[in-house]
Amino acid sequence: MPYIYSLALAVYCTAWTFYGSIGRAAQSGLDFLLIYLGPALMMFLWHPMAKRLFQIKRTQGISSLADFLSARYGKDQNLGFLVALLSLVGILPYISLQIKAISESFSILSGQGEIGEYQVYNDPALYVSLIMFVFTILFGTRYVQSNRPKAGLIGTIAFESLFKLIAFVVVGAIGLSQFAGTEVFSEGLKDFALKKPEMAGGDWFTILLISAFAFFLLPRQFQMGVVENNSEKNLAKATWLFPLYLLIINLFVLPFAVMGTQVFPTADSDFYLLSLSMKYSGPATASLAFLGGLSAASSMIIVSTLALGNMLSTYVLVPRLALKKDRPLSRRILGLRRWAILLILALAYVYYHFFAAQNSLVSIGLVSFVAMSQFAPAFLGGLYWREAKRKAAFWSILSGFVIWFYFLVLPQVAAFAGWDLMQWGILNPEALAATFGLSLLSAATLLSLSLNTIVFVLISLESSASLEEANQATLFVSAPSVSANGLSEGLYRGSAPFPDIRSLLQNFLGRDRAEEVLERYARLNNIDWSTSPTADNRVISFAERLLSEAIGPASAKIMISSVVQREELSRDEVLGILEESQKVLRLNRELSKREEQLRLASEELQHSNRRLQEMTELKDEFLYTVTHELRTPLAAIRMQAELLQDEPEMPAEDRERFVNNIVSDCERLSRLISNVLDLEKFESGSQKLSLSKLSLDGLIRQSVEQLENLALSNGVHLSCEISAALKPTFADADRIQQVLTNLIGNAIKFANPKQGKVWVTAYQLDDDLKVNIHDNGKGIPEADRQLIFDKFYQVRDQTRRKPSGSGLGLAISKNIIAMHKGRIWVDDDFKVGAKISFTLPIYKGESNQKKTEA
Amino acid sequence: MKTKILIVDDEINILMSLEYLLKRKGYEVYIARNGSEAKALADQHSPDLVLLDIMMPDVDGYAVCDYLKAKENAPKVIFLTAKSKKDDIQKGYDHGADLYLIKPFANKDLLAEIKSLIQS
Repeated sequence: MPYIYSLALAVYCTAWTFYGSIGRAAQSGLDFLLIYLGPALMMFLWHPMAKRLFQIKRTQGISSLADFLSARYGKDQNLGFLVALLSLVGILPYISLQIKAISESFSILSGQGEIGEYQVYNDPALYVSLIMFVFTILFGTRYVQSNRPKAGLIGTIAFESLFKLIAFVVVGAIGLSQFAGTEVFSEGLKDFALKKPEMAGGDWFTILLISAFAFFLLPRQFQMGVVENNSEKNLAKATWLFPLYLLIINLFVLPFAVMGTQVFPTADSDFYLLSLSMKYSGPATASLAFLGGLSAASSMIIVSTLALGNMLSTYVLVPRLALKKDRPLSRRILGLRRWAILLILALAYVYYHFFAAQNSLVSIGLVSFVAMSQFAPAFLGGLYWREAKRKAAFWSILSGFVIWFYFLVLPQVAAFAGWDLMQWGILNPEALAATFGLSLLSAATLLSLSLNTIVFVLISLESSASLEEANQATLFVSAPSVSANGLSEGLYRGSAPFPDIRSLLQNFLGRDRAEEVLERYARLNNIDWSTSPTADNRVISFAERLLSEAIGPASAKIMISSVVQREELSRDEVLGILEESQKVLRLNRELSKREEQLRLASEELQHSNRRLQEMTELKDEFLYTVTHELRTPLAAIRMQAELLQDEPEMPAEDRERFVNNIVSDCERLSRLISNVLDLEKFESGSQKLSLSKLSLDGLIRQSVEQLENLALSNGVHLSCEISAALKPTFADADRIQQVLTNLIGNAIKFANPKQGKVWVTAYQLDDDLKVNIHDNGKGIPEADRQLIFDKFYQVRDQTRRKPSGSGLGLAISKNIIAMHKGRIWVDDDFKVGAKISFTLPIYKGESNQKKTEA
Repeated sequence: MKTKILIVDDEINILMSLEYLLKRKGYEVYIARNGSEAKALADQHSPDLVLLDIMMPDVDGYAVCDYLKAKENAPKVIFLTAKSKKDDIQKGYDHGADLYLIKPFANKDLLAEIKSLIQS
């Protein structure tokens, strides 16, 4: 089988090879070889690519290039339509060319003269076309499932390939043996050696490129290389068999080109093989040459027409004329396919009749090559690039064809219609190509493929795929490594009554064929159709594939949808299918989220670091202030103690004064220390209150009594005014007394030194008890009213200090009042002196009080 | 002629002890309880040396020091203070003080410093 497959691939070698190569060699030397070098090089890449295509063909039910592109891009009818139509436009001249080759070679062989002298009824080309129609129909339209390998077809094509090879070699060998020694031939060789290649710069690359693409994109090549291939095992051997074939069939091209130019300098160089054979080798050999050419041309015509007819019927005729599920349609589809084939051959004949006479074999062939190359980006992208999109494929193909038409078809149309393109100025295709420094062919190829590729990539990146398309993209791009069936079932969540599926298959495949495949499927999967009234996902996928083989993936999808109750895919399932592509996106989002979290955390850290630093600074400052406050009494104590020590005979009066001072300084020190410890307790929250119901009246009077002496010694008049019906509060008696003593003591100290006065008042204000301590001193500067409750507030104004005191009394008082849910502040409703006020809540019963404490 | 020393401090106990100590050593001593008093006494008696506290209720020690050092026959100035940070000490010398002593100190150390300052 690998041999047959390789020979079938040789459908690549048409009449063009048989006649045209010699013509081309006669005109421009060795460059004809490029057309074979392209496919030969392509063979090295072909094996892995064909393996993938083989897998896709089988799982997707693909029977043409249009099917392939349509299926890949979301089973799209329109894309298939475009591909079918443009293939027809691109290949039609090429088919005409083959008809021309047969008819002309027949004329030469029979000596009947030049083309164009025939009337239609006696034109051999017409009969050639009719015979081709019959052959094509016999080979190609026996089964409605058009991707079933047709043993008859591939065998025949392989045989024809073998025959044309042998014919060429035999004719070549005989001819060469006849004229090899002649003087004319050696003259010709010298001339040929002197000949400069005509080819424009860059053309060699163009031809190499388009012939490599043509190898798998030409309808007949896709048909033979992919659709008719029945085993992956064929591929390995073909990798070297096919290039070998190309080498052998080209062996005798040069001698005939050399000899032909010498002997028939004015005749059509395309037919040197025939004319030389007739002159040197006799009619028998010439007939063999004719038969070789005939087989080359006919195999091309049959396979191309078959492939085009298939596309045309699937995408143009069937969707418009035959998609009704309630009638047996398998015959009708076959009928339409036959009509399509007839139509193509008729068009080819018409084209030949009006246009083909004036063009050489090779030039028309190359125009078709460039046309088919326009499918390359969408095809290769579809096979290897997951992001490739339907819209991109559609527009890239269309844009490529527009350029192709402009450079390669327009001049022909103009010649036919008698337009003078020279008047177009820069818009004249030839002139435009020349500004790029390219030949018409290279300009057409390079510009169309560039635009095509750019359009393809840009639109692919810009647009998004439907779920169906995304799924197909995954199947195609990951084939054959991913189990294609497993994935495609993912999309067909749904069920259908089995009888509906069965009748659908019967309609499109024919009753017998449908029963046959269903029975085999049942046997392989252990299903009894009579007990399984509902077709599940797998059966539906299977049925769609079978239908796809008959009517193409796009129509199959529509037909299946008409009977399947599809369930909406759940969110999870959609996510699952798209996971691959979304995973990366999610990962990215995750990463940036993490980054943001890290940034926040680091900010948090910096913030708390700053807070910590601030707190450390405050602590340092507090410590510094404490030590500073300790140093002053300590200094006094030390000085006085040293005085006493140094002067044992100090007068008793002085001694007593110093000793008393030392004692009071010591008291001051211990007061300071206990205040610091108190404050520390309050601020750390470790200070506990022992709360009880108590009368503020009693506490105030007690404190005033205690400070009476201090007031007297400072010459301050201390007065007290307490509202009679003062309700009780709930507080720690010792702590509140501490506050009162501190505040009243301060007031006495700050009262006017001359006629000092201090008033203590207490009354009820709403739900609170309010206590005011008011003196007639200098008052507190506006700016300091908030600060005085800070510990050692005077430190903030580093060089000023209150007359006496630890600087902690007010800070401690503030803490105590706050713990009682009260408030302490500097009241400013008096113009004279300072007034400190605080509030305590009224007692409302144990339980309520406890609640507010908590 | 006796050396005149002005003592400025708002802490009465320290003020009294210093006055007692220095008088015993034979100096002529003036005392002030705040900055403005100090300036007035300095103008009146032109002391040779001033013992100066920094933290006082009205005019602070730095300002007094500036005032003294700006006078024609500026007295020597010793800061006697509880402020013990490096910055404070530097600030004291920046204001032109001749010495900076941190409280508490030994009486004999103070006397020795006074003696050496007066002799220089």
